Amino acid sequence: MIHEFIVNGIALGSIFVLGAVGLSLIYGVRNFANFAHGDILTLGAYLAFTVNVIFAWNWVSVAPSMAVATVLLGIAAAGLGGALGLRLFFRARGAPPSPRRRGLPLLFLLVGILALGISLPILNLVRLGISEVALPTGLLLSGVTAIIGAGLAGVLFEHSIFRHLQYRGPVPSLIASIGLAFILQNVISAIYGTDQRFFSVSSGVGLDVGAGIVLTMVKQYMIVIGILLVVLLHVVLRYTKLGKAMRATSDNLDLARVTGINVRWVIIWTWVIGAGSAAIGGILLGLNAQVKPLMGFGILLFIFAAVILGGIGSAYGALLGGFVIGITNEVSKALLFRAGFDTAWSPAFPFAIMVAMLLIRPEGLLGGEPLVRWGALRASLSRFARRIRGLRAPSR
Amino acid sequence: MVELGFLREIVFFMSFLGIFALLVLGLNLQWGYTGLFNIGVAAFFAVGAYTSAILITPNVPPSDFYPGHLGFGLPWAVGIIGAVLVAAVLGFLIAIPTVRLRADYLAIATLGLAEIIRLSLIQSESITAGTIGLRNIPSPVIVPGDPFLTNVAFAVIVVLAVVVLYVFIEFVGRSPWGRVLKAIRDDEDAAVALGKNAFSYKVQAFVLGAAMMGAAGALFGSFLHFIEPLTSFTPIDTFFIWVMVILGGAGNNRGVLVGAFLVWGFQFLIIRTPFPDLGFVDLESKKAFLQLIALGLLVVLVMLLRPRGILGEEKVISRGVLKGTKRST
Repeated sequence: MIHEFIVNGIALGSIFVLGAVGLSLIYGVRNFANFAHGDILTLGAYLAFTVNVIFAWNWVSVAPSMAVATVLLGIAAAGLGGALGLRLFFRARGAPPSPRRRGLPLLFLLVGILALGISLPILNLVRLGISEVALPTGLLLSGVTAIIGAGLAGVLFEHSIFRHLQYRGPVPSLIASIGLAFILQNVISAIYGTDQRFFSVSSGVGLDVGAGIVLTMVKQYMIVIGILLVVLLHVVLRYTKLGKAMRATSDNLDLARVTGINVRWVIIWTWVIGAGSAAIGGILLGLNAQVKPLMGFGILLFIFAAVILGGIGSAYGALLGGFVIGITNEVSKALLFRAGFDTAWSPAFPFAIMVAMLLIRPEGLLGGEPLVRWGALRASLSRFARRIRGLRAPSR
Repeated sequence: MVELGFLREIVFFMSFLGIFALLVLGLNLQWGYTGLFNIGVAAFFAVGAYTSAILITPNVPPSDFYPGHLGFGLPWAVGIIGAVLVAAVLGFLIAIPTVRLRADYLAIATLGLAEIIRLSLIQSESITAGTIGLRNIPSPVIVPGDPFLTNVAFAVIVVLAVVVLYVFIEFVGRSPWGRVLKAIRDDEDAAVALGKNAFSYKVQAFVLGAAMMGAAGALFGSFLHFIEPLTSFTPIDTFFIWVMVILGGAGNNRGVLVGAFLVWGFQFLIIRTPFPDLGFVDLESKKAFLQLIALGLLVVLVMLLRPRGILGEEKVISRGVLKGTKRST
């Protein structure tokens, strides 16, 4: 039974990872805890839901006011996106070095999404036949909309709010982000209502992975998309100029600026990538359970737990933290069940880990000074080995 | 009769305003004076409400229709004293490990702890009646056969409590103790260098603030006669209190009271104003959301345009210092 909980934990963990990576990067680059991050996740889920419902042609569940609102939002988003895109484009042209490399991260992102979008339907076409393929194609379009919409929203928030609070320390931005969280939640509630909603997807066919575990279609997607995007993020962070600039800015903004990194550019891309990955997390969360206005705010604390466990500003820390928190949450359910307690207590475990981590090592597992100095460890081990050898060999 | 209805509204308004006032004064002591970023206000509020309710309500055994809850049926005063003490102890237990943390870490930690506490209240069904809610919490003064006068008596008690605590906080805020709190907020290293035990002062401020929130919780329970942890005591309640403090001006007790008046007055008016049905959208059903959007926008705008709030903090200069500067100029 415990295997099943671990697999569920990995699936849940991939959602936390997608949320945590963005939160951690924004925390690192902009130096404030973004309490609106959970609601960016919700925003992504609702954008995808809208497209998904339109794509599925299931107009019965769309209120006329919602359809009007959707069209208006679409027009607004397109206009805003166009304006911002033009502005960024012209700014980029005037900016120094190597404009050819500029497009590389975007290219990676697009190639990744395309690869994902093409490979998954083909995989399923081979496995299941044509009738089940509607799920990935419909979701692909929703996913792209959600990523672009949430990314633009992130840039909008940065430009309209957080940029102006940049030099006033972490607290004003934090308070503003709480206000923003409530705005987002309630705009979504006002447009869509507070009812739970569901993506229009077929339940698909489960995949038997052995050990008595059957992964549902949604869980398969959660795990595959989670891992693929993490790999993609790794590539962007490690091998592109943008990724390097991002890590440098997250480490030390002023130092990055004097080295000639265009910090504003980096911040905007951080928002796009952070909000975009949060949107995917929101879609997966909506697929796994349901879409509702408080879904993102509800998992915000888990995402914070993942970020703090891994270390603020560290994308790899967020990866580690997300999976650890996801697995902890699910495995604690199993343990609680076995000990005869109500499984609803399970959130207490990740929160306790988070608070304990804040108290013991606030810089996180992978932030700050390395937890294990491998070189020093090896040296002391070999010293130890030498001493043992010395003890064995009788000295004269 | 119309007159009585109006009076009833005023009594209702004042009672809630008083409860909010206690909460904002408590938060102002923690955030405005000491710079402790507590976003777990709802937890202390909830613990106060439940402690008092359990102490003053008779025990209800579980039945088919109601899970039952613990209760002692003690006098009302015991309830509020118990609420203050338990909230203070909880504040102490939370403060000891967390007040050393940076502002943003403290915020996350207190939010996490507040959610754990709310989860416990939901889950401990045999003690708190869980999500069904704890019912029939008695009022402090019961005028037999006249619910209106009972409510008036309650409002008077609440307003008196606010006045007493306002005077008390103003007094301690201007005392050397209050000056140390502000010194720690502005520059902790300097305060420590001058020999002040910053940790101890922070814990004291946190505990005192938590105790006031506990008292507010006790009053809240006996005003509504009913409490439940699913829709009340949520992060939204904490958000309301924060909006009041930020709007009015952190660090200024009169400011936060003005903030409480404005925000609660706004809510009160919104609840009582019928919104039109525009045909394609019924605004009446969206009222609660529109109100929260407005408050969220308010917070963002205050942060952008007037971070010190409406009144802002007043500069308090000790008499001796002022004399010194006059002589030198």
